[in-house]
Amino acid sequence: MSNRFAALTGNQAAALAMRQIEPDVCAAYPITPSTQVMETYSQYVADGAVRTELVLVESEHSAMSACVGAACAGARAMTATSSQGLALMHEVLYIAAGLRLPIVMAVANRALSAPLNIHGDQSDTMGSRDAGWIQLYVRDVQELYDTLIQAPRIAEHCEVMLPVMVCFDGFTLSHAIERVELLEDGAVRDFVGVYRPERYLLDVEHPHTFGPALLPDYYTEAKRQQREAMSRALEIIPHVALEFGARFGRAWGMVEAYRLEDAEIAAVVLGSTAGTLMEVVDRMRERGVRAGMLRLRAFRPFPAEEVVRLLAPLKAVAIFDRADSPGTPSGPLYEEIRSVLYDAPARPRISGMVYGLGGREMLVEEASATYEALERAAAGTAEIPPPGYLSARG
Amino acid sequence: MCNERGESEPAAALGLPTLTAVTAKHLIEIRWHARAGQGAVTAAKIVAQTAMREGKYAQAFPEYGPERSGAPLKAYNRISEEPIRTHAQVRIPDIVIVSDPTLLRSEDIFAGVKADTVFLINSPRPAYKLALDIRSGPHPLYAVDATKIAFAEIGRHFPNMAMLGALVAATAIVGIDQLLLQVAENLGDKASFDAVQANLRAVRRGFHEAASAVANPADAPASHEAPAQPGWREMLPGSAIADAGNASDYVTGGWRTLRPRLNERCNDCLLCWFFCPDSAVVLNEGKVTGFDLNHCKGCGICAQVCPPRLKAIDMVPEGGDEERSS
Repeated sequence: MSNRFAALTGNQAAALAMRQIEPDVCAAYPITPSTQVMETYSQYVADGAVRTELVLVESEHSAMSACVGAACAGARAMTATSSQGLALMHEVLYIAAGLRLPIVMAVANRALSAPLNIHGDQSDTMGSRDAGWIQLYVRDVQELYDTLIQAPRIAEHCEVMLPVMVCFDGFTLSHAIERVELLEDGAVRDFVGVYRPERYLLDVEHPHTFGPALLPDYYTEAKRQQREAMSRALEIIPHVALEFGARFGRAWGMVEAYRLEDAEIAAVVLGSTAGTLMEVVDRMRERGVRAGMLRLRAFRPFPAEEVVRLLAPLKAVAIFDRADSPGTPSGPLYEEIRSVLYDAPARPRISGMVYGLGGREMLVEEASATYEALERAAAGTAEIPPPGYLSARG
Repeated sequence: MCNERGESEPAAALGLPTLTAVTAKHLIEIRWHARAGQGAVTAAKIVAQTAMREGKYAQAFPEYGPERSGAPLKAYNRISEEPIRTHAQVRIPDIVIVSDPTLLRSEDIFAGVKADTVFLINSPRPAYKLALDIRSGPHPLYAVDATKIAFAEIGRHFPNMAMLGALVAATAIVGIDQLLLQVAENLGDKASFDAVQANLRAVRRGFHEAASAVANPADAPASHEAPAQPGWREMLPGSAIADAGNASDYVTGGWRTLRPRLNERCNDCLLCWFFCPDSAVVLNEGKVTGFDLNHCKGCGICAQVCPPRLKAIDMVPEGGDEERSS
């Protein structure tokens, strides 16, 4: 088939996946670097390629609110945003999760102002890590396309019923053209299926009240139930990924472990930087260093079991955070990985590096230097570096 | 005990063992059962301020809900000679104050009480009769007709000024002089001279008219076990509510302190029916036949809109705790 492979930017691939999913409602408000997702999608709507109700709103707060309303009514709803847009949605994110609405959103990760910056880092989605959304971080455009197609199945699973963010590095993936293997429209339609919510506002035969006020006597139970749904996603995400793999030959799990089987040192990361680290791992391996890499595909729910199983046997680990958490030892990924390793019988020495802020990419040389420091710590010839910034001018 | 004219010995002067039992405690915890809009939160604040005036440590805090005038609420006080660090709600009160008699129908006033927990209840009934009626058993009980005092002195349904005076009579947790000073100080800025005097009279009358009784210790209060609430496993995802349109299941008649009364002058103009915010005016073939007392909150709008030349509806005080005793 001639058009099985395409050269697409991340934004184009996201829009294409959305066209194939064909949600009932999309809300759109543009923001760099995710603008082309909804721009491309609105062209599909204008061309009659989809029957989606496109709602052009006046802000991201309204975009997410429109998705909440649509999802309550029983629609499959999607949108896309970045950075300040996600920040403006913040309060509505909690409403979407608390009402257990399976909204899917593509987020092109971008730094938050100030200083004003339009480039990639993960501060925006880390700011909403406790909003109750499932967060999946992808490594390349192919995974973005595949993950967006899996997202409605995860979100709408009756055991889960939670919104999903598919996070891809702004510019690095959103604006970079990569080779993407596409799926047939019909195959995607079959895989995603028809959304049949158990309860929805427009079901006049079975009227329900949505969004009640719950006071101290019930609010805790609602939150406890939400936590349970999130932990069930730990099983549903790999389940959906397995089925996707069985049908289409590309499998994605909760984590991506690269050359970790016999590794002594490793770096841990989210998103597109994993590709760079894999290159560095290969170079280290050529020198005979037992190096590996772990990428978390799911950050929410946090794949604690896999992280402990894969990292606990190592000697030294560096955790790369593309977002800082000022006032704590390092970034959020560092905090959580150290926390889940606390109960492991043996644990590696752990360093934390904040990198890639505001679009400053991690260079191969910088990653290599970190691996070499891990190598020395593992050999006992030097202390592991304390948490800090990678490549900040002094 | 209380006589028919409401003139009684200050209960504090009766020398009941509870007086020393309460005041000798290191930490005194109070639970107020009241209705929103009747000044209970203000009264709890005044108790705390008066205690602080006397050099003690004190807390006052309400249990906030979707406050609507007349809705039942709880408020709490702690008073101690030592700094108070706890911020939890009071679960095992030393003193329970019920500042609206209609609350005896709906509220679990015996929740968490100890054998020596003191009850102070706003009721038109004599203390001994009230103690028998509500089966307060071994608990020292004080009654005062604070509603009557409020209407007589203040002209509005603010029973908690009289309850403050009665609280001092019953427990001596603060001094009456300091209490009066505090009330005057709090109201002085916002109320007229006459209004302040009226409130002070209500406090004094509460102090003098509180009467005590102890029921048969063997006649223990009926246990009120709250029905078990559903856990997170039973709740629908997203807290959706399956029985939509269930507003009429929520019986709000218990919020009422005044009840509408219809007389024969009614000409079925239906103004009350149009204006009633709770659809509680009952019609039969276009004629007003009465009120849905399960949902009437006693707001009095019906009586207000009733044409003055007819005055077919007036508002009368609720029968209060009689319902429970019957």
